[in-house]
Amino acid sequence: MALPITSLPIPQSTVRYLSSRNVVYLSDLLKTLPWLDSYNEESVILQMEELNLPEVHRRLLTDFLINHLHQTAFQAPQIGKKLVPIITFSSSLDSLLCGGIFPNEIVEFLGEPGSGTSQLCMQLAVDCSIPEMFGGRACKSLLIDCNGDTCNIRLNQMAKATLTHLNLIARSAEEKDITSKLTVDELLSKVYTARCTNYTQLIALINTVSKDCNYGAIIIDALATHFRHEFEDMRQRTNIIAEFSNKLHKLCIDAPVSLIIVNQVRMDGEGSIQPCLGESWSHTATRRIFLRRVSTDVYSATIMKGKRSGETANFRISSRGIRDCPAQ
Amino acid sequence: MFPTPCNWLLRQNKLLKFQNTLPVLDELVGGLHPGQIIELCGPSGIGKSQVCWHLIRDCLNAGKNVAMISSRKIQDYDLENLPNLSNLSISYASSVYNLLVSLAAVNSMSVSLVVIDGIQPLLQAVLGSANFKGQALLNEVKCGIGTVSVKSLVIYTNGLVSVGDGNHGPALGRAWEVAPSVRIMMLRDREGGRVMWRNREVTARLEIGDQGVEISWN
Repeated sequence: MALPITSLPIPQSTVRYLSSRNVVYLSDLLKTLPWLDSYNEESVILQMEELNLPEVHRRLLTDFLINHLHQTAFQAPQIGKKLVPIITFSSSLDSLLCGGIFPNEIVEFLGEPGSGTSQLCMQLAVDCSIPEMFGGRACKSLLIDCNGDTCNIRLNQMAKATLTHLNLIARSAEEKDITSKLTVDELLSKVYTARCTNYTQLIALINTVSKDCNYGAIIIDALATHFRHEFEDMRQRTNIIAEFSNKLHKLCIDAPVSLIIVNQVRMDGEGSIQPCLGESWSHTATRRIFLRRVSTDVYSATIMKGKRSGETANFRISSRGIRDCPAQ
Repeated sequence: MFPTPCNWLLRQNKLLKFQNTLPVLDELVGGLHPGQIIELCGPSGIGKSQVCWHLIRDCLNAGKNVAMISSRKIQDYDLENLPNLSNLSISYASSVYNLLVSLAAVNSMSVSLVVIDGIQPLLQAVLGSANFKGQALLNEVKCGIGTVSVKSLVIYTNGLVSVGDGNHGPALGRAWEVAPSVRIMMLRDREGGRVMWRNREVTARLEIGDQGVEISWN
């Protein structure tokens, strides 16, 4: 590649240092690093320490290598072990989602205000902490609240209802043992919430979380909130969203996290409902689901993109959380 | 490289074509053989990735090697019905530099089909008014893809952007418009069916089923 190193995101001082060492193109740089084929972060840091570079350049180059050239090795894929989905507690919605929300995928929920998106977010956050014995993931979840719609009291209510449900379905002695020791506090201790008041905070939060992600699910409630009104320069907004989308994908690739993102909708010129944030954002999510309120407590979900595209399912939001509609 | 007569090159390329089950697509793009760079351009959810997976399955069925560079994690259900999984190599790209390095690595592998799924988010992040290096990087990617296409068929997926008056055009700007050898626009028609256009003239109809895609003339 005859890409000059001036095009790389490294500062001028490092560029000058590299040119003095006769490294002018990206291919020259890669030639001095023969182990690019397969490596992980620790070995990059170790091997960079072996090269005799001044401290400041070494640090910057290591950062660049880890952030941008990580995992470029080609590997044959292997079908892994069965993945455990996060359920939504409504069996019709679960079967629409082919089981629930799986790790390593980005799912986008769209809807008008009042179509059940925030309730669904809270339910999914609580459902992450269901113990493995009952078919849950027993992992931590992070609920990032951009709108202010997350309510601790409601999370408490949903966790109580989940615990009651688990108590009811426990059959064997082992299961009863687990549910007797489980408390609402313990279920909720796995649900973390964060509040973001502008897009910089949101990006900073995702950056921090990406460094060492041990959450099983990251739920962003209303991504569009901060991106809709704060930007005058649309080009800048497109770039920031594109880079954010890259970061989210990298997060999904590196760790077995499920990313659930709620988006808002807008009316376009012809009066039809379109998702916010534009076409370039639409390609980020692997699945997109449109939520709509049908009647007082009945809501419907339609898949716009992904498996079972075009199918619809109904669910109900009650005091216990998301549940199935009663059979007619 | 010594000068070679073009008709010989074209014949060689056509011989290297792998058996595929999409004859309509074959004719629509002018031949699915090495030397072609095909761009599948369309809105979200229209089936660009589905077409790519169908072609990957055909190539693996024919016993050839496939390299895939993806910007999003590939799920197990995509890989379920594929034969000869050991002939498929996957690399993940989360930035342009990743993509460049992966393209350079593909050159040293002997693959019949190279699929780049989701090239738009990678390149969109470096383009923009504040970043003049973006065009240089775009050029590098074009050259990288061109080099790879000498020995393999290259297919990549792009997205749409609005170009005013409610119209849509391929993303990534005017400079990228000349990157592929064939651009296939995939759109929804009035009844909601999926249509594939080449050069706004020739059209074909796309249907997505459980076993793969079906493309027929319009």
